[in-house]
Amino acid sequence: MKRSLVAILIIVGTLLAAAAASASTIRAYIAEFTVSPTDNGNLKNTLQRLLATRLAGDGIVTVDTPAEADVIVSGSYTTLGKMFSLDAIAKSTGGKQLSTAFEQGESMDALIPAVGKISGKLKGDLAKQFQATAPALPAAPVEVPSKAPRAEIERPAAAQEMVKAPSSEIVHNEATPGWISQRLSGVYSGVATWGTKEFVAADDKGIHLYRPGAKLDLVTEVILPDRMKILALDAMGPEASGRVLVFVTIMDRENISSRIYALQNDVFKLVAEDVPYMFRTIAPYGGSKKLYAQQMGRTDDFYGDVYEASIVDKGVKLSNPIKMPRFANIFNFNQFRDQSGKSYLTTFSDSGYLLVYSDTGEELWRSSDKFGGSETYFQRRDWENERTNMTPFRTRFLDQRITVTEKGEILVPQNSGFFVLGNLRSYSKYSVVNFVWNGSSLEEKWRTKQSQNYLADYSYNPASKELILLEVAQKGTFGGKGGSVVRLLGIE
Amino acid sequence: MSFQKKLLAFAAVSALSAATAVPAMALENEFHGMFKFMGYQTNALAGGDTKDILRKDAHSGFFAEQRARIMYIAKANDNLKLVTHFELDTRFGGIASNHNGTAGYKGTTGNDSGNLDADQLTLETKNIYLDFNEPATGANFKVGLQPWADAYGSLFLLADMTGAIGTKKVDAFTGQLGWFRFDDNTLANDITGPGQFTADLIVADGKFAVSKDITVGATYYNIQNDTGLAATAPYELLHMVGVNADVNVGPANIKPFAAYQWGEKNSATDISAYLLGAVGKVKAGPGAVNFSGFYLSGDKGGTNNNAFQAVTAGTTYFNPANMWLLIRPNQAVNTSTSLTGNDISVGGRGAIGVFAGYDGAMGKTFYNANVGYMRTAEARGAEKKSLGTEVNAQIGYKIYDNLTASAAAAYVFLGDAMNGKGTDRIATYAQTADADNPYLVNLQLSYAF
Repeated sequence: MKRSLVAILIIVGTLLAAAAASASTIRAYIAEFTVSPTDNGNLKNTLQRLLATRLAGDGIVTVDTPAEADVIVSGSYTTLGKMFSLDAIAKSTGGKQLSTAFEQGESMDALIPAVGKISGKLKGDLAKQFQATAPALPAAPVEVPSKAPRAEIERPAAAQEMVKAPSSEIVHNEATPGWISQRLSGVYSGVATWGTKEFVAADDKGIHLYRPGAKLDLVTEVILPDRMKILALDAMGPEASGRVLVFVTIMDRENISSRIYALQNDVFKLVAEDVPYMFRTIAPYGGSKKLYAQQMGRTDDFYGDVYEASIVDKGVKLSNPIKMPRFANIFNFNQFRDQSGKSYLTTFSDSGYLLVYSDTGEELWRSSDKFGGSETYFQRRDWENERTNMTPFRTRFLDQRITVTEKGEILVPQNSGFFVLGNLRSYSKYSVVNFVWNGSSLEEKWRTKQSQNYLADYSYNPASKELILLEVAQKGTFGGKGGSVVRLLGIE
Repeated sequence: MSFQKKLLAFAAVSALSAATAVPAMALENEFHGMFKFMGYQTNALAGGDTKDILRKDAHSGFFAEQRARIMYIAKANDNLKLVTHFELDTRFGGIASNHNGTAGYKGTTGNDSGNLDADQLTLETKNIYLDFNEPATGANFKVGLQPWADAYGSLFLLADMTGAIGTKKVDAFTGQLGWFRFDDNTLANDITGPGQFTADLIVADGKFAVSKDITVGATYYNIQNDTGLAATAPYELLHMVGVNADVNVGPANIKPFAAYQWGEKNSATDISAYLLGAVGKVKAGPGAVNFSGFYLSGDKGGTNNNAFQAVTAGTTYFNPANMWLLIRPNQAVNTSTSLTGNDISVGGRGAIGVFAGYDGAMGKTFYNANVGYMRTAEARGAEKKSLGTEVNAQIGYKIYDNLTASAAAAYVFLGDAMNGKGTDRIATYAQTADADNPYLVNLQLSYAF
């Protein structure tokens, strides 16, 4: 009995100590250096980065915005004749001076050691000063309104520390807050973009061209026959003429019967129909966007390899097959490279785990949480199991796109919330998660704030570093058409 | 609760939280299920599972029934899962075994809970099996009580059976080897030793995807029946070889199949029988035209040596027919029977059936209409061959993605073999001479997930 009590006291004590330790972490923001008389070779950013990496550690964490910081460090680099002076001053967010430091030298060779010395002095002073002034400091300004747009991205604390050093190169575009469209009537399932502001979205009726302005304007649309179900929507272009090719993967009475439209001057023109291929545009390795195609077989839902595809004379020309490992198909894979240039393939398993395969098809890693998740499905007649399943159809759910950014990082959505695993799925919230391959596993770098809707599809625009997120705000129910919204979110 | 107990509880809860926080250890729970309500106004069915009231001046009446199925899958990982599947059947009002109902709530078909105040045992075990992929070979195995269907539209066998089956895919080829013990009459402590009075099915199945549009297959089935010719599989030894294909040609999909059977009915009679058939679908207008047909060889003399052999009538189906009365309907639940009591080979006479229909959908509304004709392959004595022609139609509405409501009507113009006035009818099925044409109206609510 007494032993148990002691054990509990020890556990509680440890927890309190850990909490106290985390409370004493100093968050420092390193402002850009002022360089005079002229900044040759972008010294202000270099010095900022050098000081950030040296200052971090021993209870100090560097942060990306003043709003997050307890301490703001500003510095200057001045040359007079042959001499330089490096000066730094640390102030609390209340404006109180906590520490100053300076170093002088004659040549650039002395600059880096000078940064080291300055950081050492600041670190020592801050540890002392900050502890003394901490009670007087305001609480960490997590809820500062000016931070609102950036709050879309939530960084896990551990990852923050680890990636901090290189991440000071990331410039967060605070001027690009999330933009939300008006409610669109109907349950949308697919979205495709091609680098401009416009996008095409698909619902159970057809495809619609939208242009975001003050609100989302419907420019033009194509209504498909009732019997057709859109499985996927992708776009390639624009070509030199401004023409964009829109690929609509369609299931028509249990067979793939896709359509290709040319979009030019806000008009959809049918280029080809009843095409027996499923299409998807993917930017493998974060490079340029390519068109891929795969067929549906009589017994296999996804038959054979995935091919690079091109459109010639209204026909589809296939080349460069990619062998799909287990679980992968045209809709749920992408490829990335590590720093040594080695190629990997990533996909979702049937149960929703994120997988990484080597180029030889060996499974290297599997996430412990589920990612992806889609309510889009197709059905195929299944005579043999009809009596067992009491439904004449076998239901196959598709999965979400996996995006590899130009930095080689991986973006995947994570739909979650209440759902029944079976032939009924109902997701209710999502985040978009960014991963980095560290050589052995995908490490989560950041995630967007959870949205209280189901994410039907998304598209990443590498030029504007924007996500076009197609959310279902209301599911279609008896007598109701449901509703969707489009959210534009800058991620850097 | 003493302080020590509270501490223990706290420790247990902490341990549980720790365990559930480790995803690699997590067991995934997967649920599927269905619920179906069926209401019938008919002069041909009474809520049982056998052929019923094909007679002159047949009375029409209403009955209702429901079926629920719950499937729970304990999934350890992508390569290992335990599948359990249970069924609960109920006729509204319960099934009685005599008209005053005093003989208890259970009637001819056993489990039910439709009596006043319910509270009866109705849970039926349908499937319990382990489904796993063997890591070294990548082959899939299913071991236990599981569903199995033949490659011939279930004209031979579709049933839940105890056994083991292995499936291996090598590029475009998929091979399957299986063994099922579907009957064992050996007593638990039999001095004969185990496995003496058994019926086994061995399955070898190969499928090859020639291209995305063509898959061809070949099968060999073997039944060794040592149960002393009990109700199941009324023969001692049966071999069945067959070929099948699944072909897309333009807008059409066609699945032809053929099989030959040989073996020993008993020491005196050999079996030599065959089946031919095809199932097709052609896109047309907003929907598709369905067609299907089969020929099951029959026997004139009653020795059945040329009659196509199933395992039991109750484990045969032909769902592509889309019939309600000539062949049991694919949608049927508790009441699952046809004019010939599901004996598609009509007591060994053999059968020819041709069926066609159209189905389509408009938004959330779906519809189908079908017509079918069946006759025996051989006539015995003065019996006629024509069994009848059925016309049916169904219209439904998807209330939610997984909940549909529908209404169907079916009518059969009986052939001479069923409504004859004397020895020209097959008395096994037509209870009286000059039987009325059977019909039904079906109302249905169906939920599946």
